[in-house]
Amino acid sequence: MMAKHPIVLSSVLAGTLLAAVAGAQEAATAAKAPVKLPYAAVHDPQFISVAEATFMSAPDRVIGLMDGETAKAYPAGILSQHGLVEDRSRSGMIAITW
Amino acid sequence: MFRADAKGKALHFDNAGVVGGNEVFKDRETGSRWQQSSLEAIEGPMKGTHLELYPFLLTSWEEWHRLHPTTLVLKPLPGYADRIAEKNREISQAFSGEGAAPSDVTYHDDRLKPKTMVLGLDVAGESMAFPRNALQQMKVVNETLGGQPVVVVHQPPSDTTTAFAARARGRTLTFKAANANVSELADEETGSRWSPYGDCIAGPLKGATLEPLILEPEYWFAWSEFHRDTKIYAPWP
Repeated sequence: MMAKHPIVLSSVLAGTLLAAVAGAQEAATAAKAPVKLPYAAVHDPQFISVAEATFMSAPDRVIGLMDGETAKAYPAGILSQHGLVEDRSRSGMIAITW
Repeated sequence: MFRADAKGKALHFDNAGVVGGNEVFKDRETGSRWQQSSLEAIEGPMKGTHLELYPFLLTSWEEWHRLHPTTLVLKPLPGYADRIAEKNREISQAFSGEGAAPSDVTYHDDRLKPKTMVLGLDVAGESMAFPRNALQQMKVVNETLGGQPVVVVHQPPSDTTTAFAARARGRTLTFKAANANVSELADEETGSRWSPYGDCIAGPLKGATLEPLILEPEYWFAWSEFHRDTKIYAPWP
């Protein structure tokens, strides 16, 4: 009974290691030949704060929108990967396109 | 940017290809197909119906963040953040004005090069295209469109263009840049000072605001196809 534990543990560890190796290989492959991401409209957009938006640089184009007192920025570098983003405003549904 | 409803019906859109070099969307509710540049349904039960523009500002991240320090930012879906820098390079290249129109564009108006970036304006049934390079030179343009006085304001540092009905408190106003960056304007009639976003910040009209007009940034080939009677703003005689 006791003897089986190390075997179970080691196979679990091996599995984890294999997964990690596979992950690293995928990342290496992705760097060479990028995975094609779908060009698809976004219907349920999520938002982050300025502090979280580390991918933004000063000259980047954005489409800015005021919804009452709330300001929202839709970076062109994201919009252009989706074509269209739907969002809710106080005066109804809107669509932002690039 | 447009309101996602027509004839009192809320609509949800998906990408549905490109027609005449211009993106087309299909709504899930009626299956109609809509052309991005004209905002008109070109096929399906909504054919002939137009969507309504919604006010927005095309600007730089630096300028938007300066104006709205607590702005929210659209969160990229997993994987998409890695492509933002590359996309931004493509976008900045696309603003150069060079290159041919897509091969499936069938309408050609040779008054400007096909990929000239223009800011399009519709007022009371009349259209005018303001070429980005003309705005970069002139910065503040006083015009009449649809029988109404309008002003178009270009801020070079952030490549931001805004437009307004050139009237406040019952007076028609003529604007000029008050500094090189066009971060401030002055009107000739009262000498009041204005922000490039239509707010009077000093002078006799302090507190007044200008009615914003919605500019449509487009390639010339797309704007001219869907606004065939468009005028072109030309600062040169």
